Amino acid sequence: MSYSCSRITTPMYPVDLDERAASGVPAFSGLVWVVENEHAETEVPSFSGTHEQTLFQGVYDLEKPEALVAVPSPFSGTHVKTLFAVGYDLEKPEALVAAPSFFGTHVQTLFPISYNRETAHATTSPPSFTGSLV
Amino acid sequence: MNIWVPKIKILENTREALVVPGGGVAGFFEITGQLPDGRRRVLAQRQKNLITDGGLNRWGTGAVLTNCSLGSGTTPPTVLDTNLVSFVAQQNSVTTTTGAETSSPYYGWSRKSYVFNPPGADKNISEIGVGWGTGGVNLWSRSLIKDVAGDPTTITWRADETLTVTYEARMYPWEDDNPHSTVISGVTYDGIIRPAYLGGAAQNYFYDSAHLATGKGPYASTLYSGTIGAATGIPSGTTASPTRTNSAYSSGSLVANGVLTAGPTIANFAGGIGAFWVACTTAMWQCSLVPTLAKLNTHTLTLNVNSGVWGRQP
Repeated sequence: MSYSCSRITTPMYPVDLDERAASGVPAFSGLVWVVENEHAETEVPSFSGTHEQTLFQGVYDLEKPEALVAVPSPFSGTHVKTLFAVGYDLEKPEALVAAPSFFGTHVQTLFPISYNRETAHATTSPPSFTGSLV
Repeated sequence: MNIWVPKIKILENTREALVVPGGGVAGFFEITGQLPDGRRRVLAQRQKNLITDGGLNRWGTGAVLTNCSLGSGTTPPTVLDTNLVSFVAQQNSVTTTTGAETSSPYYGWSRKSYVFNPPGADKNISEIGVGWGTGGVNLWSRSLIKDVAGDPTTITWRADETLTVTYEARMYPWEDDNPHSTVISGVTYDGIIRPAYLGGAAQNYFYDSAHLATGKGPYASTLYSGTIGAATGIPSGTTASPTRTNSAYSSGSLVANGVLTAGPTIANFAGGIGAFWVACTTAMWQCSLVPTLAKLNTHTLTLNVNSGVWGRQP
């Protein structure tokens, strides 16, 4: 498999951090994620697939490139060569990190995917009780 | 293969109030060093760490903050971690202070201070764990040490330097009222399950292990003739002390269970039982009963109560 890669020209727009934070997991559409308008060369560790809808098996937190962040499944895509990178800061699970590292020549879909590696135990429930009177 | 991608920024939620409703635990550590001449330096500023799955589970059965371990591993932590990657040193001696935050978001805390004697030779330290095992195993938490920018880093623990790790464990209780409708022997009782002693430093500090009914120190689950109080308090009225039994912890459940039993001779209030209070070590709570529960001297009341499910605090 090979990809021809070129410098990303994805439009980038700011988002309201407070609004995003207040809503928890973002529900957004379009090519939106907070970025600094600068670029960093990043080596993508690995990805698999044979053709369209090839997705990275892992993405890097670009601020911590040594921290490989797994991307969860399932994925969904609408078109070819849709790549995205969504991850969590491993040490800051509350901080959703999104990298608009998708590229391609056609439709570029940004998925509102959140990956919480702590999902299994992030959900709590309040106390409760049962009783009997005999 | 290299690609060009925009540099991202971490979108960090700085509005701590968003962490409610609670039921979660969290931990923070910082590392300072002191040289023989008395000079001190901060080797790692206060930073949050990761609570492991094993740590969450362990909390249901025993102490989780018995010791602190240092290592030189650089593998990013995961919730499945049970040990340091490369163990260097451990300190079992610890001093403890406890307390509670008195405003929302409330949390009870326990601060542990682990003092490591000078190692005799310079050591590189890049990971840290707190737990209950020997040799950097059985970890409640594991973390890479980070610099001020939040990037993993390696610190040098000097040969003649005394190292102090201060670890703070937190438990965030539920803050909201939760209505209930509970059928007890054919009668439906409505009411509110509400936190108790919210912000109480003596009652709701972070306790080393989670258990339910037998209480924390002098505080023990109680039945009341009146109704529940404010979330910072407890119910009112005439009291009765039921028999309190902790149930066996079910591994992986992340919930503590217990049984309160009031035999025929107690809690036969003229107006019935209007509320009860559960002195759970994770977070105390109280509950109202409407209508009041009319218990007679021929009755035995059994309440099967639980702590709620705990998890990691986001």
